[in-house]
Amino acid sequence: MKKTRASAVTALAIIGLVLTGLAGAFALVSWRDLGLDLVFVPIVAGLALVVGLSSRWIAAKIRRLPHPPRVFISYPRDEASTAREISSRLKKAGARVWLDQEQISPGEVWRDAIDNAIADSDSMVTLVSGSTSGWLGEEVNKAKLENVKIIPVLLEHVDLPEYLSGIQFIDLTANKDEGLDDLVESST
Amino acid sequence: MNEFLAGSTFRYLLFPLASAALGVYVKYVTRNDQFAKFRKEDLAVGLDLLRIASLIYLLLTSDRAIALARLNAMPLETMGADAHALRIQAAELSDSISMAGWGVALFIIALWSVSTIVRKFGWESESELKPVMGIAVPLVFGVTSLILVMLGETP
Repeated sequence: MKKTRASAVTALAIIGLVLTGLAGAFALVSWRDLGLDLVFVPIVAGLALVVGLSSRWIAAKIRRLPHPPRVFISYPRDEASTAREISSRLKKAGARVWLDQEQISPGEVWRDAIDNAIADSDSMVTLVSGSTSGWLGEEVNKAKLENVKIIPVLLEHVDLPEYLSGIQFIDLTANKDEGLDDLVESST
Repeated sequence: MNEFLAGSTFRYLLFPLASAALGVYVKYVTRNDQFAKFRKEDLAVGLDLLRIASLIYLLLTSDRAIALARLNAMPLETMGADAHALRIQAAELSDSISMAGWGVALFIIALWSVSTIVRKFGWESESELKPVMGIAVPLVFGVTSLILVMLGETP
């Protein structure tokens, strides 16, 4: 019953679309004394059609225009305070920072929110300590898929996980201030 | 400047295109998620333009009704030599107003139809629109209706 009603609504909508399209065409024909002004209708409608059809391409071009750097911070739960400190340093340097504790609101599907944020990022700062979990690997793999620059940051004297091997890291264990400066410079 | 603003290029080309561009810009800069990059969904302003066109149409219809009321209230003896021209003007205004009911009905049908089509066929996922049925079709209807409203107002 519900399906029949839905298809009737869809059919009515299509009829409405055709009807209003025809009415617009009729209005144009009845205004043919407007002469050259009518030429603008197909030009602008054509432009709108082209913009709509190439919307994916246009959006990609606009994304390449200069913009404030977007940085995603990935961190183990135990390092939440360090993540906040790095976030505020990056924000002061003009970056837009995505930190789950600030950005995910109650009721939101956090996995989707994280995936979208990684896709929107220019770089991902990955904090590595002894308590690094398996989620970090998933986030790093997603960033690799999206061609997001990954910047590993070593917080403790531990080996980098395999998925981060071969990527130049920043060491905060030796000189924290200098390391943070390096981090700001490389991610903004 | 006045000539340019009253000219066809501005009224029927720049005005609808600038309205669409401004709509896209406002949509992008006012959204809650400032971290998100520009998405193709930000270009989906067709329904907004259609809504604006219908409101402009309502305003213009009221203006015509007011102008007609003024003409009718004018005493015949004050019209002088312009009486014939004023009668023609009044007849044109009457014609426009007599069609206004149909115009409003068509705008309501267009708004309902286009929004239903977008809802039924325009989405490829929960947050992504399809380029044709989700973005292009409403955009074509939006800018075209904006130009039609402006053309109907052509002196």
